[in-house]
Amino acid sequence: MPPSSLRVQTVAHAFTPATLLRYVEALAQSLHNARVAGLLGATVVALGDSSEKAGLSKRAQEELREALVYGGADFTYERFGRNLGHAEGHNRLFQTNDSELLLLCNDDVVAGPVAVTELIRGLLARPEVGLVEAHQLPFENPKAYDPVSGETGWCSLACALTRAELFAELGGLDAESFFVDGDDVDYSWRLRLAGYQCTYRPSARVILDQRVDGSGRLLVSPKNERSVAEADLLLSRKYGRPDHFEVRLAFYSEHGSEAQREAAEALRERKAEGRLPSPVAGADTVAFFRDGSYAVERFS
Amino acid sequence: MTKPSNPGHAGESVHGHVFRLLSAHARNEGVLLDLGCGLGAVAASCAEIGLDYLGVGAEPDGLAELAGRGFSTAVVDLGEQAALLQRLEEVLAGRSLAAIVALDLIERLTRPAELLAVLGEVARKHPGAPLVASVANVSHFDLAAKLLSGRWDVTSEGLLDERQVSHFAPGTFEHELSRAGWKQIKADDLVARHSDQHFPETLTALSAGTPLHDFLLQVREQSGPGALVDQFVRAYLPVAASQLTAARRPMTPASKGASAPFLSVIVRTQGRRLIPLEDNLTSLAAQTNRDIEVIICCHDTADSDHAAVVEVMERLPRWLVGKIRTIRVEGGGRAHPLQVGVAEASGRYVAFLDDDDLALCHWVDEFDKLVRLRPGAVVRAGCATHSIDEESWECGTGYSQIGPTTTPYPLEFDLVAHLVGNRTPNCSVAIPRSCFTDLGVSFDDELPVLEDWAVLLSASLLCGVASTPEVTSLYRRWKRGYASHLEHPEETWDLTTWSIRGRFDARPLLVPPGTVSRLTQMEMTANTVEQLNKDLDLLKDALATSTAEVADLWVEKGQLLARVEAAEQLLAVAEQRAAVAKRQVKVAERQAAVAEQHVAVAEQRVAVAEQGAAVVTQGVELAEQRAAVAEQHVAVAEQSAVVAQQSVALAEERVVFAEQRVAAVEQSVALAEERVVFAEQRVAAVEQGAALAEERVVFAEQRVAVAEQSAAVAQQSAALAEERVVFAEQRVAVAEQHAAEVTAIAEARFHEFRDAEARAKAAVAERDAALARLDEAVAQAEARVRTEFEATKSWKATVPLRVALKLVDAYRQRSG
Repeated sequence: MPPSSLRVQTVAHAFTPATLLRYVEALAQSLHNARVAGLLGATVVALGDSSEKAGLSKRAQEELREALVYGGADFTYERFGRNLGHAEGHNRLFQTNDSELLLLCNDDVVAGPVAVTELIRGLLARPEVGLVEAHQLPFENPKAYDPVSGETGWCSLACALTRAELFAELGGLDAESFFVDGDDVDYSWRLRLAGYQCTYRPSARVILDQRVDGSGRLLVSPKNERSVAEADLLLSRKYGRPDHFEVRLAFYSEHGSEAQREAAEALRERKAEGRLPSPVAGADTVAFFRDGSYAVERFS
Repeated sequence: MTKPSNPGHAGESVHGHVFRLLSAHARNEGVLLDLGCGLGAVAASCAEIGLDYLGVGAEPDGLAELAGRGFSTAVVDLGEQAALLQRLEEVLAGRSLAAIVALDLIERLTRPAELLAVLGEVARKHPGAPLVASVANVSHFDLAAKLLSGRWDVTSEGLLDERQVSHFAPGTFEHELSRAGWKQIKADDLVARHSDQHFPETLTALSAGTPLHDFLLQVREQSGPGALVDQFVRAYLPVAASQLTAARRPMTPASKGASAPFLSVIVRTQGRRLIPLEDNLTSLAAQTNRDIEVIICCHDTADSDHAAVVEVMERLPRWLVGKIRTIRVEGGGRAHPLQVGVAEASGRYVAFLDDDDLALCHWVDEFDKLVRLRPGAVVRAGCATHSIDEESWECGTGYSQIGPTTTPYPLEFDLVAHLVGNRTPNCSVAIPRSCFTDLGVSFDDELPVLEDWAVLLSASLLCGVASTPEVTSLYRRWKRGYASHLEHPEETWDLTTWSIRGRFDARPLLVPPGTVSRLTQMEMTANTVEQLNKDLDLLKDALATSTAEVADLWVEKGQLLARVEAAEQLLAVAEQRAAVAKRQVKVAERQAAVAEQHVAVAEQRVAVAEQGAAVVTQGVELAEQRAAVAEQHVAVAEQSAVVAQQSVALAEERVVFAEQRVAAVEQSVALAEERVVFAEQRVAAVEQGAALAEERVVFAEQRVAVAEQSAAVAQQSAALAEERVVFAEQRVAVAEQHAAEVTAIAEARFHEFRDAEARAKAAVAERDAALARLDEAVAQAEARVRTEFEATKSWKATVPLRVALKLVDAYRQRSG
């Protein structure tokens, strides 16, 4: 397996220099280990700053750049000046890509020592693999996967590796429909419609800065909750499930939290304005909807 | 104040201990230098071990008395540090030094380290000469208990001798000797259960059996050695001059732990689960608070496993690698590596992770926040859990989460509940390191399990607990494989739980504020439970009565149900019979209808017969009319009888004949009636034949149904056979295709072979031609050699050609 050039893209919004440094230091180590394994060629880490506040100071940028030297990676920093969201932010960063592989990674991720190594091995193991997702800890996503090949219904883009050529061929992420959430499920399903596989790589382990409440449920902010609800409705429209759309819309309106009610209202307006995404041909061959999940789950 | 009696070490004295040390460690000959000798308490015993006694001091009266008893003495001002060394050399006067004795002297000096340093210099000139010193222990329990009671009783001698200006506890005494350049070789301390300070005896803190005394004594004994030591009696040798360091500074608060991290994280592993360990360490790399050190305790780990652990460690982010180290721990049980890890730790707090635990990113930070609020307390955060299991993938083996995340452990700490059982995973607490180093809390290696619970109880009873409901750690339970909850049977857990409860039940406990409310609540709950139990008993009685009644009712109901069932069965039979009767009636009705039809037919036939009979009757009537005519003819005849009696006779004959014909007609009528009866008999026979025909029709229908089923089965078999035929044809097609491909390949290979053969033949031909050319060239060369030789008569000139010829020969031999 010859060395591959790699672009790591991160769109950061609510961050501190300390959390960015934590992310970059762990990433540098993981890149270093992949380089030692002979898998990595030229590497660049591109950070897109989507925050509305003042950008990262020169000193902080320099600190990140220095930390990445150990991983043999160059560093670029682009300040968007406004919150572009996850999908558009990545599309914007990708405009200057000239690498073969593309790693999309959130800034609250702390990569395990062999995470990058294993993601590359997973993607290049078979030509039909188009997207590989890392094993997220401490709380795993419950979606089912083939225990041998790792094939799964969709991949989270919190930390996932794809082929840059494929990303370009598919037109990147659907920023027109999705802002922060849902773009990963959408990208996964479009990729599968194009004949590629989404796979899960259990040996590529990363830690996410996740918190849980007193009953063990993941903590989500109202903003996240609204975003997830909107994504759920948009996905059901785009992937030919108007019944699901109406049922969920009614559910969010009548029984949802305040954030979910807001999401339902926003989608109604969007519908009235004719701004809902058009259904995708062949959607029924890849799409799966069940109570807010997009794949069969191993546990709940 | 008068020194009271001292029963604690009756029969023992400091001098006896000093004598034992001198006997064992003093040099065999020379001078015993008794510093601050007073009345020379050891002078008399000096001769017993063959040493020369020399008492030195600054009090002329005492020295004079000692000299009067025949012992050597010298005046030496021990406070004159500058001239002390020279003065001691003078009094020794070149004699060999066997040992130095300093009894009850060091604590009377303002700067004892300086004297001890000078003594060290003296002793180094006489290798092997020890210093034997005795010093009062002010950390004796009696003094500690009295201080807590507000008492500090200075006496003329003893633990609080009025002449003391320096005070020593075990640690400070060791530190003082060590920084003066002395190394301990033997301790023979004087232990006294009750010291000379054990007064007044009625003081609660001194009274054994009172909770206060027992608790304070327990704290003092756990805190470190020397709780019951009256006098430190120890022998020392000076360290070599080259080992003396510049660090001869007194202990200061600032010099202790100034650069220590906040938290020492002890990670326990056996090196068998590297992937969970790597995840565990990565979760530490993800901490928002990095004020930590990490100590990986590899317990009973093989060399290869330890090397693998080190490899995992070295692949971590650089900043963490600088804060992490491994230590190898051999032997002992589960508690042993934890205790060793604590001994290695330098942090202000200590936390523990097993290699399969995970810390959430704010694990350290939440501990830190709690410590800032409650310094010195045990700190505890919430803990979540889920199940994991080993898995094998295309890319290797590892583990995976197999169940939802839950929080079964209380989010807030409750001491009373914890006295009953453990409700806190070890990964969710951090304990002040001082608990281990200063209060003697330790992991008990005798416990097979629950060693963490015993430590948590000990520490929380002494330090209190500050807790937060924030969930900061993840305790993961293996479905199978090695895990403490799987390795040890339930019985072990139960027995250990009872054992730990028993330990804490046997000692006085220091409970935190709020315990009274908690116990009150428990008492009220207990009362409520008791009342509820009584109510429950009453309800049980009522229930038993009701149950009996219900049982009777059930029996009754069963009987009724049986009767109902029997009636229902009878009804069913009756209904079946009625149904059969109805069917029979319908059959009978149908038969009656048929019979009626038959009767109608018969009647029609009878009517026909009757019509025939009527015709016959008409014939009869006609005959009668004809008979009447005949009679008329007879009358005519009679009237004509006269004319012809012969005609009468003839007429009579003709009457007879007519009567015969009537009789014949009557016979015909009778015959017609018999034919009617016969017709009816035939009708009955036809009906029987019809019934038989119906039965045959039913039988035929059954045979038809069976035949149809057989036909369906046959059709299925035929379809299956067709599928098999299709499949066989497909296989044949595949085989034929395969055969065709193989044939094509074989043909291609055959052509390739033929091509290769042709090429080989061409090559052989070329080779033969080349060899021929070579032979020709060789012949020419040989001819040239001969010509050259003939021309020059020198073989030397032909060397290049002959070398070429040899090369050609060599080539021929190689090529065959």
